[in-house]
Amino acid sequence: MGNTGSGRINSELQTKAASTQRKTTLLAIAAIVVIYIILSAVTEWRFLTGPNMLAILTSSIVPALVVLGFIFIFTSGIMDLSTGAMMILASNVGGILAVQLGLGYFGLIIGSVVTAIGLELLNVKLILVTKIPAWIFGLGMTMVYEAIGALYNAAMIAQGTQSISLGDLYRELGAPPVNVIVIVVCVVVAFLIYNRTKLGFGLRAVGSNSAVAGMMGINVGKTVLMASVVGAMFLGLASAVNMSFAGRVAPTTGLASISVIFTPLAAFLLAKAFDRIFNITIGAIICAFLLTSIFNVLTLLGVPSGTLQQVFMGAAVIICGILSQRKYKGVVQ
Amino acid sequence: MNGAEKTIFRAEHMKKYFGATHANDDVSITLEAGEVRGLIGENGSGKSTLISMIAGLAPKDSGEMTMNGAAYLPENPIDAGDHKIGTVVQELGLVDGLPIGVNIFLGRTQRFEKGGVLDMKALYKAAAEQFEKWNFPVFPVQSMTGSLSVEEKKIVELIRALSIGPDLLILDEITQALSLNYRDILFEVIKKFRNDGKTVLMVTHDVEEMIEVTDSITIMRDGKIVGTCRCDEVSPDDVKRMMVGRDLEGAYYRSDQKESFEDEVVLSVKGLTSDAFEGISFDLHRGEILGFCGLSGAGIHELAETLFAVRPSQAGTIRLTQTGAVVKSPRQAMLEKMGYVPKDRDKQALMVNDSIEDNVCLAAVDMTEGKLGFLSPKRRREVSKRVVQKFEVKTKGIAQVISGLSGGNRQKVNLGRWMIQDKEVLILDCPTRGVDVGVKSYIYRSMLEAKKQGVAMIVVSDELPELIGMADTLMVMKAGKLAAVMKRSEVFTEEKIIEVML
Amino acid sequence: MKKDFWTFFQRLFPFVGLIVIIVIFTIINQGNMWSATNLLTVISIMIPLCLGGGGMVFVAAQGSTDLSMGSLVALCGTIAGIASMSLGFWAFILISLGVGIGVGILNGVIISKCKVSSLMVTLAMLIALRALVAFITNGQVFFVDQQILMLNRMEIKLPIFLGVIALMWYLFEYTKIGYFSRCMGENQTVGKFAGISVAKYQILGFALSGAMAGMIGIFTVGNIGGISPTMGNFLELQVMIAMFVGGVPVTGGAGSKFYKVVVGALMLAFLQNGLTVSRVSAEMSELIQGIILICVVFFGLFVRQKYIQRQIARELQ
Repeated sequence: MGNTGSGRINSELQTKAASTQRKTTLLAIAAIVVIYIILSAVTEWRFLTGPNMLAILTSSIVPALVVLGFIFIFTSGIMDLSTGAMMILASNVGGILAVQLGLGYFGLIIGSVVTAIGLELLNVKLILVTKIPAWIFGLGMTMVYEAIGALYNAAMIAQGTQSISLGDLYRELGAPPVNVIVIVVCVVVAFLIYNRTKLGFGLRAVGSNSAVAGMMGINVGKTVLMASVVGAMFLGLASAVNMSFAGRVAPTTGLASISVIFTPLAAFLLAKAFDRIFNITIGAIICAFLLTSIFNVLTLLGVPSGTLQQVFMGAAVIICGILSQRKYKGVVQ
Repeated sequence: MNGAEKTIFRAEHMKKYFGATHANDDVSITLEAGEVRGLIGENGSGKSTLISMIAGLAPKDSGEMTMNGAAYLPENPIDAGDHKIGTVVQELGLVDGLPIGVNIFLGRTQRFEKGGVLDMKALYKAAAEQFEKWNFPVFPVQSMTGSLSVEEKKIVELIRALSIGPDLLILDEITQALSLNYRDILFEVIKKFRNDGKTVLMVTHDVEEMIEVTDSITIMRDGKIVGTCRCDEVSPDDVKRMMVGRDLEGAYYRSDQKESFEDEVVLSVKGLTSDAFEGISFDLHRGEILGFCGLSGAGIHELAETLFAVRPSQAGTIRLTQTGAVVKSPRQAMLEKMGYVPKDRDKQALMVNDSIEDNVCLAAVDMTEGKLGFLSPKRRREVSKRVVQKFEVKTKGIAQVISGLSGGNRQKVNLGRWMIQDKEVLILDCPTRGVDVGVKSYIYRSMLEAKKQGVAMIVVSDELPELIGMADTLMVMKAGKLAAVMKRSEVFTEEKIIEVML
Repeated sequence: MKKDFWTFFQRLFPFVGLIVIIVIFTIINQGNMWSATNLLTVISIMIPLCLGGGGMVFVAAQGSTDLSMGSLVALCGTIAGIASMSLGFWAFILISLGVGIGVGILNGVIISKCKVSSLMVTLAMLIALRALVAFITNGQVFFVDQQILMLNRMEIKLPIFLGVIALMWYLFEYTKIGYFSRCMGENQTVGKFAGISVAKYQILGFALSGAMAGMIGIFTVGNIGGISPTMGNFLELQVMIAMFVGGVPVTGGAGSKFYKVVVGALMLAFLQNGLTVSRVSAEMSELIQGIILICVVFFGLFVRQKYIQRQIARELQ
């Protein structure tokens, strides 16, 4: 057993670790560059243009924010599928506060964030208390949240109006440069919490090995709840930015809201697969941008959006899932 | 020991039960300042249980503990650390998904906080300083713990325990995992503890090493402390005798002292190799009981799993000589009349939340399957009832859920479901683990009966007396290799076997 | 037999639920429910639920989940329906079943060989297959041959349905496929140590689930007389609700019984029909079903736990 490490000394270990780290990072960056060159080539260089890149950046910001939220919610093992429906509700509450109550940006952001935090806290608390598997609970709550949104929508239509719309107001939050500032600030905050606080390390300990975490004096339940509040804050911000970007977010039914979180889900899984190379909070942005780019290319190639692109989306989720699980051994159900 | 003796830690009348077994039965131990104490005993003697209670990993059932003169009742290892007790134990691992430095201070990161944000530079610096302070090479404290080897992880655990500045350091079987260089550094650490008037309690299987390193040795057996002796007064043989010194009342073992089996070989294993052992070859004969023993890490349990193809092998063959079939999968092994009782009854063998019937028929599925794959409910009930009756399982009926049965009755179901089938080879891994004496003797009788009918058995066990009492041939393994093969007629004694094992 | 309350209850609670639902809606709808036409409606709601449950129960018993069923129904119906226009009636049947089994095997292989959670894979399939259907149909509605409409006649539909359900019942309760699936749901490690080829039965389970999706696809096309991109919308969730309402534990294992699937399907059919007859809106209906889903899952786990506790306590007395 283990007579391998006997001769190693300080500097050797350090250098070895540092050089492999450098090598894999360079390799990853090279891979991304190659992917972008290939993507540009197949689109006859329509892809790597300034305006197109800006368009990709703009549409990758909401998914990136959602991935940041997922990092804090999913890491503890609570895979909450109702987040999509929850974000639709949050967008609409934000819209109502902004327009109907005349609270402007303040109302939009506070409404979205508070709604997201409140609903996510409710979800996580109920999952912890009832011990129902998170995925089935998320499916049930998706139906509930979708129904609430649809009931509101139906009531609005009965009154002769449509669901809440921002019109031309309050659209700066979703457009450059404000949205870029938002994402930069959020990445910094997420990075700090995930890598520099007791909560971040507690969450990662619980996610990696909750038995040891518990023995080391970490309050598992409290950590999971606190982390989900942080995650929900990012989801709420994502809802506000999305509302501002789109002007209107229509409620969906029939689980369609789950497809809202598909790009972020794929990006999250991809970021998890590469967390040895990029810190997962940085990886969130890179992966969201990467996936948005791929869908942008599909559009440029004339692949119909909504149909075949969704097929690619499904494939992307499965492939990212396989990548993120490849280190994992044990029972999978 | 330096001069005036001062008690640093005291445990009195400690008791701990796991179901019906007394893991610790009225254990009292006192540790002085500046003392290095060894704790030794066979597997299951209760030493790990005692350490778990001191380290705050398991609550005691009764008893009193004092640390530095104050009453001591740890909630978790962090609490134990606050009382200046640092522990390195197998149960308390590291979190793979965190950097090494964070693992060292996990649960105690408050002191690095600056306005809610951790000062990582300071944390990593403090972690690196701990390595330096105890003369270990400094690990890359910012790297993920998951990338370390088993040995390196042990060192990190040791540093974590040392970083609290303990007055009492508990080391549970750490030297086995360490190479010589690291071992020497560890012994220096222990010396420093002694010189500073601090205390070390260490567990190891290596008696010679223990006598060399420690001042005195406490020996445990069957959940009790059988004695404490000063190292300058004992020889390794004395200690071994005290460890073993159990009365081998042979009443429930077989009485003959000669191996007895037919010449026909039923199972032939050639050069079997996996990540846990290498080059294992043997022939198993009809009606033979073949025992395997070895210390933890010797690879005996992994061997049992590989023989039934649950665990992959890297080289070698397992051939059933009658049909010439080579075992490739568990299912095929079953069809070739092999049976397997795994070591961990509740995690590997039985579905504890399911009925006796479902559990019996899982192993005996081929007895209940008819035409068109029909699993006849009637036949299923018959087979289950036969197991319950033949093996005297105490239950209200075959619909009883397993978790409602006692350990002994569970084991009867576990063994019985294989023994009622006409199997030719049975692999039994720790067949009497966690059952009381009555059931034990019952299981031995059943094994001898099966032997008489020509069933060949491979028995892997951590309990030497049972192998000595039952086996025709005994294979002793050490560090993944066959170290010795003994015949019953040569008279096995525990001293002889332990000599080879250690 | 007071002490055996939970033992009985865990067996009886689906039936109690069924009776409660029937009584409630009989009162609310003042007996409108009991007309012959309405009962036929209940049966036609129940058939896809029961078929779907009959396939998905193999996956559920293993502790896995198959969310792709609804979309798969649409895909089977679409491909088979289009094929039937040139290849005829029997090709329609065979292709629908074939597509179902094929996608089911694909699910099973990805899950067992690549070790990705079934939730993730089938969730992706749910979206991807639905999008594929939209792509193939381009959002349009097709009409199929008259011969296929015959399948909607109760005197033909019912015997086929009963035959298929009987077969699935047999496979689940009386063969190794169902038995090993339940054992894997109880404890996969134990299954492996007792010689179960886990991957093989995972793939088989998903294949059976897919086959039933194909079967539902056949009946759905027969029912609407053509292909619509919204076929099977939401079906996977309804099937799941039916199973859980019937008392199949969400974690799978020994508590999974076929009769629970049938009772659950009946219960949900009465519930949905009752809600429609009492003119509850579609949104409200989704809300109610979502709440019911969460409540029955919780209740199911609770009852199962009580039952196990009771069993332990009984022995210790």
